[in-house]
Amino acid sequence: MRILRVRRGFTTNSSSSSEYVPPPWQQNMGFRKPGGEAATGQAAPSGTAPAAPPVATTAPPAAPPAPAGAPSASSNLAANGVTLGLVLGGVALAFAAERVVRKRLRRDKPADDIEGADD
Amino acid sequence: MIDPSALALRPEPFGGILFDPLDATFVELDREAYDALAAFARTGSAPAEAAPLFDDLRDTLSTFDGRPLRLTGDPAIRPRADGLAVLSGPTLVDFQITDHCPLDCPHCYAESTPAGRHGALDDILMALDQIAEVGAFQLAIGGGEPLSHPHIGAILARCRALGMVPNLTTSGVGLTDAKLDLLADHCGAVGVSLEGVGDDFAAYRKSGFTRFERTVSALQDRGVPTVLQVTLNTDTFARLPQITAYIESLDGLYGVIFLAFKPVGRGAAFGRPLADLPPAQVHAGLEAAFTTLARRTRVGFDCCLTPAVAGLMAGDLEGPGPDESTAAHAADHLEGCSALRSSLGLSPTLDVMPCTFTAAHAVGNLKDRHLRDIWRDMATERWRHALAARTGGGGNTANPRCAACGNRAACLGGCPVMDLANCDRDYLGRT
Repeated sequence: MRILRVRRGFTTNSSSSSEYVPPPWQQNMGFRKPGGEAATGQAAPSGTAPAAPPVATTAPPAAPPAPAGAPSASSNLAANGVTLGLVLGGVALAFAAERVVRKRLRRDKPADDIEGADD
Repeated sequence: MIDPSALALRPEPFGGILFDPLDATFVELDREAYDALAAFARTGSAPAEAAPLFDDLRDTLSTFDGRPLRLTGDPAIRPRADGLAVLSGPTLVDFQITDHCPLDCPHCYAESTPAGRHGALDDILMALDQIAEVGAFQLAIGGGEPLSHPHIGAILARCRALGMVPNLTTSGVGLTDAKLDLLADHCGAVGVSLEGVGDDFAAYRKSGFTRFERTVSALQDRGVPTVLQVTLNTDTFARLPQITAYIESLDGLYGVIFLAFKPVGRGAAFGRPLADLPPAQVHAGLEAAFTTLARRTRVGFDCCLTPAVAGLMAGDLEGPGPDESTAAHAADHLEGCSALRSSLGLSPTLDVMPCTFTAAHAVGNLKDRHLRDIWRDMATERWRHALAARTGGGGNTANPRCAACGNRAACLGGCPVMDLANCDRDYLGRT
């Protein structure tokens, strides 16, 4: 599930492939590769037909607004980060609670029963 | 009325294309990506696995979130046996809306004259409906002088209402303030031709160099993205350094496009194609122009020049950027003849041609058959079979020099009708 190729530019002449020369030659044209992955590879040659969209006509006027609410890897990462934070926080809390309990046990024990007292 | 900012998504044999009309960004998607995006367009939701794709689209498009997304195009895609890359419909239609031009220039390939007739508005609107129905994204509107068409405003507005981007080429004759407003309101970009500087320009175009400069200034002052179109024949190629220096002196151009001269119409008696020059000479001249102008603006070329550019793309040009893999980019940026693969030409009387330079090869008329049917029918397929056969795909007429070339799948062996430009392998056999 990926982008194969990105091309940009309005075409004023007869050739749909009136290409603007490769991005490395045109550093100031604002070209960005998608996702940091090189968009290489010619358009794949014809193969099997893709799944047909049920809307085969031009532009349903009330098409759903796209990408608002679309899934996002970064938002997933953020959600994962929150979960991880909660888990770590819980572990830290448990650790702190255990230290409090241990401290209280030490306080209530006789002096000769304290761990490491012989060292 | 379609929201002019709506992203358009259409199916293709390899998956699909997402088109952004705001800046003419074409995003080619694999099958899974197309399916995910199409499902999103239909239902408003997408699977979690699509998250990286959506993030890539956010990085690729100027804006993605919140944009309307519409499905378009023809889903009935047929597999091809010859491997020729043919899209489900044209992405671009080069529409000559008139044969009228007040200039009567001596080299005009369209043979337009002041007595030429305008395309009928009803015919043009019907054609635009059909073009939209097959999912085209852009039009290159020309003539004749398209600004002389009495209904140019309605035509441009109709393109936008149908969700398509009209681009237009003009000499600047008849460019009033009102028409500047039209161009600014509707056009993606406007092209102005440049075959020389000063008196050299006037030898080609009766409008004269002063009008050319005035036209470019007016377009840019009005904020219209302006493209200079440089047609290269043996004559203009000799003056390419001068033309390059002039373009380099201009600020704020959207781009410059180099076009291969075609000996068609009155132009057939006016110049000779680049194919008549030694390939190494053409190679060196293009390299100098491309690398010089790429520092200033977008530099492009039409598919008719592809054989001449193939050598540059093969990796022997030292690009200014850190990425030295120009050969890898060749696959992205080299395209052979797009005629009836992803584009077509349309005459004022609605003849469908492979391109506007190949009227003798017309494959139908929109008043007789819908464009959807013409795109699929036998006459169109015969053109494609001939194109595929030239480089060894499904025929026995392949040029042996092409058959042994690593660029053949992208280059397609140059124009199938005319010898326009040679390649560094001399595929035309001139030496």
